[in-house]
Amino acid sequence: MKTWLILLCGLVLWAVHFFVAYFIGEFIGETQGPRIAVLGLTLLCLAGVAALGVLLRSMRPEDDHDRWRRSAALGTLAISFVAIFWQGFPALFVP
Amino acid sequence: MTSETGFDPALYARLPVEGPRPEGEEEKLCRAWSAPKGWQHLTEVNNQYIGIYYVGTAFLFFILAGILALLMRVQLAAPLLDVLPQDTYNQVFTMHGTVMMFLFAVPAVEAVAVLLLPQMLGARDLPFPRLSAYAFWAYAIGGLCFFASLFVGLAPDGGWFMYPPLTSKAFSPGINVDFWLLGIGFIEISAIAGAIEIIVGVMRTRAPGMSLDKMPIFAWALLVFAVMIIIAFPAVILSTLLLEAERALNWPIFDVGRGGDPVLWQHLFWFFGHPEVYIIFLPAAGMMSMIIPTVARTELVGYRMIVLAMLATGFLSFGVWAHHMFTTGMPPMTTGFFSAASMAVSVPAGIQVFSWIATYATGKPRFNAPGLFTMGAVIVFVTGGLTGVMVALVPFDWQVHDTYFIVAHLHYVLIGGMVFPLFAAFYYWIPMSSAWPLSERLAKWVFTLMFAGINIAFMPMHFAGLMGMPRRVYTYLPEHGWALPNLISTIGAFMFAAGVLLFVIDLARNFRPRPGGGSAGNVYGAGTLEWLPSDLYGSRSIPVVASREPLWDDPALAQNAERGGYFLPGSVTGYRESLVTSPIRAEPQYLQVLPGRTASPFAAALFTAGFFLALTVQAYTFSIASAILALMALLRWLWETDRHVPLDNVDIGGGIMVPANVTGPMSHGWWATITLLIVIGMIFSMALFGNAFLWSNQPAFWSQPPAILPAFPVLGLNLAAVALSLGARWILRRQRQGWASAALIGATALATGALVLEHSLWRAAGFDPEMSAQAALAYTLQALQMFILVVAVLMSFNIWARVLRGLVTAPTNTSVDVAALFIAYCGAQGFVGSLFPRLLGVS
Repeated sequence: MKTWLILLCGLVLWAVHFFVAYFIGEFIGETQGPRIAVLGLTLLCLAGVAALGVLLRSMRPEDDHDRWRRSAALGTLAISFVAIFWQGFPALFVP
Repeated sequence: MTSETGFDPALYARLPVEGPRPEGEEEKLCRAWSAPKGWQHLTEVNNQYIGIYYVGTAFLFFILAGILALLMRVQLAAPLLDVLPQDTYNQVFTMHGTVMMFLFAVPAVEAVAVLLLPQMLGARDLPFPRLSAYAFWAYAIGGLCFFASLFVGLAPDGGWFMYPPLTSKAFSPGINVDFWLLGIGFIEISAIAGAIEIIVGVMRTRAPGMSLDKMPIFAWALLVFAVMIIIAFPAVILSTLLLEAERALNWPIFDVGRGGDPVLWQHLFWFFGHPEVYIIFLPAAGMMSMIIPTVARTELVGYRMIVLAMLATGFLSFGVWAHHMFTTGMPPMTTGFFSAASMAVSVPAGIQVFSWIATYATGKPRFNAPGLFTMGAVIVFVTGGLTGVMVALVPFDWQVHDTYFIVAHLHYVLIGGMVFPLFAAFYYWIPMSSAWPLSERLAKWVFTLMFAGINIAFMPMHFAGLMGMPRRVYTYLPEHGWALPNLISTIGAFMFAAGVLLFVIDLARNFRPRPGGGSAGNVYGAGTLEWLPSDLYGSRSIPVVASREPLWDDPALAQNAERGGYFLPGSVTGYRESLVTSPIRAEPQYLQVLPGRTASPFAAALFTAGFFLALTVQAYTFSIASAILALMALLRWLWETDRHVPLDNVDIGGGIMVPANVTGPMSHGWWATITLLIVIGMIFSMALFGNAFLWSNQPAFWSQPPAILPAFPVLGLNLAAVALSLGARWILRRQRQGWASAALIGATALATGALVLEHSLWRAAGFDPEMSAQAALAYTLQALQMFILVVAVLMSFNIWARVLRGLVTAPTNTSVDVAALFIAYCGAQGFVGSLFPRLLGVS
């Protein structure tokens, strides 16, 4: 379980961001309040990704497998960061 | 080295064992894995047979759907042609899309998985061979019956995504749509069965030492693919059930006049439908990542990046479903989220493409058949991907929505992303299963015709679409100016078909299946385990894996495996066996005894198909009889499962001992049950989403649901069912088999009582499923609960019967574990299903 958490933590954060943003838009509305909520959520998730990145970098791998796992997880965190950042834009720019 | 299970990796140093093997060891292995004769082929469960049947059937559907495409292209070759009447054309385009997506693309990759995965992982077979056999037979029988509907004019005609209200009873009164709804629902069960098999297979049956970082990239792709199936496919199962309920029972779930919403269908369908594209693409990309290093004679560049790209694709593809719905009037910000996700998902796809290009660039690529098809795939897929980014832009999508531009885009993506890689895989892996490889000389013609054909057929469709030609029209007027691009497309389609025909001729000349050994072998010089010398049991012994390309890195490995120097060189129990390993580092955990030939999967599939088919044509007596026979076959299957092996620990090679009986979370049965519960949970979650969606979008039709307070007994009974069911495992630990079985029956009774009470509360509150979509969805939740409770009843009485026959071991037993988990889930679902609709009050 620990390995999967490490590998997927960034993508899970992306999923949380996407689905919460979607639910806000679909079920709450698109007025100023929900937009600010989505932006706040975006900042929170980006901070989460950054924190996970710091945590992963501080882990000391014991063997090749651990090294591989850490480096793959950092890669998924980078993709997640870009995807969350990009996905927050509609709340800012779409009228 | 770190250990995951307490196993000492230093023990691997004992292998390969030197010296001659004991006399009779190989004969015993061969006896356990003997070849079927005559009718036994219908009862065989060995992946080497099922895999070949499966791939062949999927390819047959590719040909059949391709013939339908040619019919369409003939009809559209010039304006105002009358080759196909309009109604027939509607059936033909619906069947082309449906067969390609549901009967070719997904089954084809599952088929390749069944055939290749065990050998690639170093396993004897997948962990549930009967499930693979069932998945295949259900698919083959159901698919052929479904396709035959075309010959009697009853084929579905509402397009492959079957949008209501066109497909509602009012506009499609015939049974054509029912064929689609029941047929596809049934075939998806087969896909899910295959996915469960793949997940547990990849996670638990890898060769010792094959940790996640050494796993073949195809196995990674299949793992992500299978997880995506269990998350995405429940949505289409639910949506087909809902539409069938509307058509058969007049439950107005998609009827706007009674509080329903056809857009809900689109959400549910595309929640499955868009991930489906990646579900198809990822295994094909996995094949590419296996083939390209061999073709380029170098290691794959960016293995780690490809793995993370596959994981990212698996996630991000669930955020793009509504990009098929940009014209439905969704709120702008929500539309923006889907547009952004649709662009973001191209990043991981791009990572894979750049990795392939870099592998070619760093190696010495050969322009042989697999090489040509992989290179062609990259070009065609990238072209489709670029138009994909174009249609992710909302204003552009508004312009080209439902035009031939979309037809061109999706064919570039699917042919480049799946068909070309599959052909590369055919050329690459056929020497593993056939006495002769396919012809390299003919392959160049096949590739040239197919590559030119796809571009000549589909490139002009971009222009036809931009000129305003809508998809699915059966003809057009000369003054529209669409004649030339259509004529060129038709010529291209026939070129593509000529390439496929040449391939079939090559197959007829050279493909000679050899499941029992005697294949052409490793003609391309690949480095992974599927190229070990093999027989019906796979490799003679299961090697220790120390790298990603073990055959490249250890030249003696094949010889040592073949002479029985590694794990399981014989059959300890006299039955078919495989080795179960830990999920992360693949450390040996226990010996699994696999089932041999049995008629249960074939019979269960045959009668389940009979049930669905008879239901569609409203032959209810035959349908009920088929259901009973299917149930008997399933119970027989269940009865043969989980037999205690009279051995505690067995030597699997080099004096390394593992247990032969394992229960609880470590067992593969537990893993499969959890996966199945995720599937059921997803169906249920989608139904909850439907409730919330209508509550949000149709407030004018929403009534105050029954109060929460009177539902407390329902909630309490369900919680008690959860507790009692889990308590059965605790009771069994005290050696009380009878009481454990009574606890399971009691738990099922409590959950059933809760359902009866829940139903009466909604009835008493005046909710009628024919009156409003809200009521229909509430009763849908109850119907789903009833269905799983029927299964729970069968399971709990099966445990009771097993106790009576002394088949339930104590202090732990896998059958009891599985039943306890399932019934506990029933209670939990009943609890949430009762509470959730009550929380959606009138605002």
